[in-house]
Amino acid sequence: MDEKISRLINMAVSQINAGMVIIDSDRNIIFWNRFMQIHSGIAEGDIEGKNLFELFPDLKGSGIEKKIDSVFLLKNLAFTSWEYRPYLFKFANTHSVIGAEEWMQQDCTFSPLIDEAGTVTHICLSVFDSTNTATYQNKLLRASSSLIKQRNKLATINQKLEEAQNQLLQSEKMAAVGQLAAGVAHEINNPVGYVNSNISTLESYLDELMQMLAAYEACEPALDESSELTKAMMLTKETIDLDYLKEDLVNLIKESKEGLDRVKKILQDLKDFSHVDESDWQFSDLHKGLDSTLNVVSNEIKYKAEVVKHYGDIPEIKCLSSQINQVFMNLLVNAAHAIESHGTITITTNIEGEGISIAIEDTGSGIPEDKLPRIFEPFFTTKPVGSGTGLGLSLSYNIIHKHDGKITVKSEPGKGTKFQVWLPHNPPEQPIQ
Amino acid sequence: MMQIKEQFNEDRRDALQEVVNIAMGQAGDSLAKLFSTFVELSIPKFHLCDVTELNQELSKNAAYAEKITILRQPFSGQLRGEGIAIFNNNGVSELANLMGYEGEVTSNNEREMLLDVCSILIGACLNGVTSQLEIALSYTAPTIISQNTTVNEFFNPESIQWRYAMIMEIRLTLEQYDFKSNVLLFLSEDSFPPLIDKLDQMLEEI
Ligand SMILES: Nc1ncnc2c1ncn2[C@@H]1O[C@H](COP(=O)(O)OP(=O)(O)OP(=O)(O)O)[C@@H](O)[C@H]1O
Ligand SMILES: [Mg+2]
Repeated sequence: MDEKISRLINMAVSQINAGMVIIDSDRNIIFWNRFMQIHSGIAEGDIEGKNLFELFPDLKGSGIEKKIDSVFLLKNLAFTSWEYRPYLFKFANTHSVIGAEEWMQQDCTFSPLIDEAGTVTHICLSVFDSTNTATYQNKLLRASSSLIKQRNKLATINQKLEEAQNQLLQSEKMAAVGQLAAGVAHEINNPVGYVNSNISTLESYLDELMQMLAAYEACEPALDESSELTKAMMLTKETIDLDYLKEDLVNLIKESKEGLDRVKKILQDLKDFSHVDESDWQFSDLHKGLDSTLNVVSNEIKYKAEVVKHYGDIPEIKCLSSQINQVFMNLLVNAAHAIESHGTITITTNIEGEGISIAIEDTGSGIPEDKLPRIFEPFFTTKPVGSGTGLGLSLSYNIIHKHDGKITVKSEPGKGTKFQVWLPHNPPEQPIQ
Repeated sequence: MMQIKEQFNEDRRDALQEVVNIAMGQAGDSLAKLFSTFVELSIPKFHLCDVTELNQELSKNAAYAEKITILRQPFSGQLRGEGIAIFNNNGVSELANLMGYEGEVTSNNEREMLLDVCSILIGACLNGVTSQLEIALSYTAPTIISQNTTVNEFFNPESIQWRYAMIMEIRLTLEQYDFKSNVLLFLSEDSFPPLIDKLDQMLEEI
């Protein structure tokens, strides 16, 4: 080649703004251009003939040996990229004033140098400074990852909002049901009131009528048996079966009064249950709450289970009793639903620590172990579409939590389930929803 | 398409197959030396296909049904195209040790190692061919296109610019490591004339 051109090429190799290193088959460095000298601070004279891995021991055991092997063996190119290996040679950052990377980020290429016989005798290693790209790329990456984080945060918040809204809806629904029940109870109260007083009046009138009748009957022996009038009277007496009628009338009145008493009791339960008059934090008797709830849901329970009560001697506790009753109702209805044909629901109350524990235990189907952790999740239900919303337990959980209490569950599939509620005697009041 | 199929007549196809078989023999030897373990290379298969059929063609292969890592390395010069290496995700950390990454292998080590293996495989496959046909090629650094995708997600016709391509498919197995890789070499349409020239030259010399 023209001497002038080869001088120029030498000059270019020395001046080029990239590192160039030539390694022989013993991995000894035989050339090291100006870029490498400047950034490493090692002069060309100090490097000649030195082994690459002795001079840079960090390169050992990091896959570089095989890269070089492969270039010698296969005549292919090998690469390193700053993304996976920030640098091959630890050089100070070229963008030292503004820039986050501490060391010069490098993209490197190992290329084979092949002789006339087609053998790879040397390797040319070129080192490119990619600090600028790396800085921007990393900035972008950080920005996008913080965006992703924010988006995820928003998504969680959204989900929580949705859950909260659903719970609000459910508790609103319950409150509405309570109000409706109270309204109906109130409306029925009036007619029941006057039916009740009329029946009482009827009873006393009837009593007097009976006395009158008895007086007439006492006159019967004195009547002329052959008289047409007497005959007609006796006939009527027989047709209407007066003796039976007298007896049955008393019973009818008695039964009606009992029926009315039951209606009055149900009305009272409805009122107690919804607690429209006292939706405040108040000391109240949990047994009363349990009993009125049992009455309200008796239709769901009575054909399914026998209810056994083990009520302990417990003091009144401060609570939002209408909400606590909702919890009892959810637990009782769930227990009844879990029982397939017939079983027992046992309610046990006790003093426990600074509060009261209420256990509601059923002999139902139980809950499989894999479902157990999910039952308090909103919308978790195993019931057919339309019959369960899956909100009962999630709402109960929140109510108990608001009371600073605890709700736990133990279940054995095939045997039954026990829900245990613990409520503190005097919790700090929290705002009513 | 018919025309192109005709251009690759039987003689030319046989010649190409011959060249490729020799190249694979050499590649297998070198790879075995490099990995110091037995390397099994399949006999390369050619497809000449319309890009729209590419997906179907590739999906036929059961090996591509699983989740895979896909890397690519473009090459240019007298032939133009891309090498695509597809790895199943087995035996990757063992392979990293084999490739001289010591100690705990980080995910960056693993990626660099896969890139190494990609350019080794593609280089090994192509160098044998180009040296026999006296073709000069230059390579660009390989990149990871995607991890944990399927072929279907990846090779959709919209993302490929050529109408026709020649695909050469080579399977590589390192039995000892349960490591499998498929290398696909895509030659673009405009590489066909120079390739045919070179094949004809070779045929004349025989
Ligand atoms: N005592 C129990 N025995 C067996 N499984 C139960 C019991 N209590 C609750 N579960 C299970 O937990 C699920 C969730 O109960 P939850 O009360 O939250 O919703 P639900 O009863 O399905 O619907 P609803 O909103 O009408 O109450 C039920 O679907 C059921 O699978
Ligand atoms: Mg329920």
